[in-house]
Amino acid sequence: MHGAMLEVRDVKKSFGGLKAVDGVSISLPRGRITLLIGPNGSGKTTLVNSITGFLRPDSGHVYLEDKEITHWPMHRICKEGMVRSFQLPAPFGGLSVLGNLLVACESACGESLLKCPLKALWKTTEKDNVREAFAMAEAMELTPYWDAVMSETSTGHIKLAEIGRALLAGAKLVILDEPICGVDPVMADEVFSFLIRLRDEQGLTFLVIEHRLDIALKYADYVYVMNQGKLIAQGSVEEVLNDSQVKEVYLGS
Amino acid sequence: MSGQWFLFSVDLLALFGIYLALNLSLRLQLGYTGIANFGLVLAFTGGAYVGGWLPIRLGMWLVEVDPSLADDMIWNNVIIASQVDLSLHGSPGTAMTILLITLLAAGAAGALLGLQSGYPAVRLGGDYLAISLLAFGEVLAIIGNNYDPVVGGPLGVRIPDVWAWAGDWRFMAASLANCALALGVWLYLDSIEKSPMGRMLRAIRDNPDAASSLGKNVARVRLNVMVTGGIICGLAGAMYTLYTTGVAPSALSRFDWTFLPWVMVVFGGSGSNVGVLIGTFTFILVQKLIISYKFALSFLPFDPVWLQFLLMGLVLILVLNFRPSGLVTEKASYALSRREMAKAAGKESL
Repeated sequence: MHGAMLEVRDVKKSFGGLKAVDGVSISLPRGRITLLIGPNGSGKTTLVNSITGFLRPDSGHVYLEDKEITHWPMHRICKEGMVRSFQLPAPFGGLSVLGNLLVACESACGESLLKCPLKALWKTTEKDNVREAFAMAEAMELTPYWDAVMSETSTGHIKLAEIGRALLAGAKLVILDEPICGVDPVMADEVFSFLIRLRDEQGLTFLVIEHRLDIALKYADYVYVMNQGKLIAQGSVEEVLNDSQVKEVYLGS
Repeated sequence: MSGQWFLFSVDLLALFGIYLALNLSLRLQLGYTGIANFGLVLAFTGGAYVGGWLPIRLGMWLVEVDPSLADDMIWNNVIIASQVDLSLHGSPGTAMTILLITLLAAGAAGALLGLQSGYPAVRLGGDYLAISLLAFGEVLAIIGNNYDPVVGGPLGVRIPDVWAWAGDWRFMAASLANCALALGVWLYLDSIEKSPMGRMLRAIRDNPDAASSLGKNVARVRLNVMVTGGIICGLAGAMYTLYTTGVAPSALSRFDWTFLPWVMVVFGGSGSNVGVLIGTFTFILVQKLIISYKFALSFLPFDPVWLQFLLMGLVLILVLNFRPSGLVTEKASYALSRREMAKAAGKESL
């Protein structure tokens, strides 16, 4: 399918004898929230790791906006507009909330060991970055905590800041690995409402792995279900929930 | 001030300058970027070898020396060095030329050593990185001890004194130069602190995977940091050799030039320049005092030279138990001042 945001074809990844991802193909349409679900150990995170350059897939192809990015390193994939988050909270603990957001902004001169002593080279860029980072903090209702050290804030705030970082890094496609894991239900709904807003206002595309189906299914446009390294179902929320194989996997036969 | 105290202070200052530069290099690698460089001694030794190899050859080339002596540079090194010294007494220009060229070469050697140990190492994480760097640190000591043409093997070599022109102020001049090097490194690290570079390095330290997912080329940045750290260590090594006017591979031990700097930095706090300064000064002072008052300490049931090692162990245990981030802790800082940030964000104040 041409014109998809992300096209994954027949990706395989084994660890020794374990086929963690066994020939999975998915396609993410632009401006949609796609949910990837499946029981523990079904290979969801390994799939995401293989797509995003964190792991090298054994075979298969990954296309971002029709450009092949298979085997690219993560930092290069980021520049093409695909950013991922991690299953466990991944804050830059020693930086403040604003600092975490600012890291995602680019500053070619400010981030060079040779040029960084010359403030004149990066001051203008930095001002723009600070403006953008504050705007992002505002949008995510993180403004009151902007100066708090990231490692001392709540998991919900860390997850929000991680999404904010991804957006500031210029993501068109954001892959979120359990964005509401360990987050209280109210905050969890807030996280998803925020994704909906970004989808509608900025046309961003999301791939979300989530275990808490009670919350996540409400917001999904399309669902893929994995089990034992393979895709077992896909479709709208209703279609997937009525699928006999899915029922079997989740409820036992 | 009596002569003895003057000498004590000048020597203290000289060592302090060298160690401060070296320790700030460790802070750049460990404190900012999270690279546990247990091979600090490698680039330092590289710089020291350049300091032992190059000035005497530059000296022979720049001033008049009996050419037959060049047949065996190592055997004749003391005679050549004293002949060069005689000329350098009256010509600070020549001496400073030798100093500058030596420093350039030592910086380059440090950079190369940082690059060669960093290239395979930056792809490793945590403990593996530390262990491979520890192993790299031993390489030059083995070569230097077993291959005479570098710096004379285990006996070492004497080198011309580039500070000879300062006469009675020779030690003072050399000490101040060492401190000038430390000051330069200090200002450089301070500018990293107050630029986007500082926060990027800390991001890479706190979570390399997340930094990479946000478009930072983590391996490249780490390598650049190791090269920069190597340059600083190389310069410190050369300055040390030029200060002591001699180099012997056995004196460039991993204890003195890797572990001692580590204890100083861990004690003072790898997250702050001031912390590193306090850690450095404390340890140099204590070390010098123990050596100077060795005889007053004869009541101890062991040789006082061991006191330093005991204190080091004690300090490590205390610091790691009660204040793991060191005496002075890291503060979250921004590249712009609060006023500049408020203005950029269109707010009254922050």
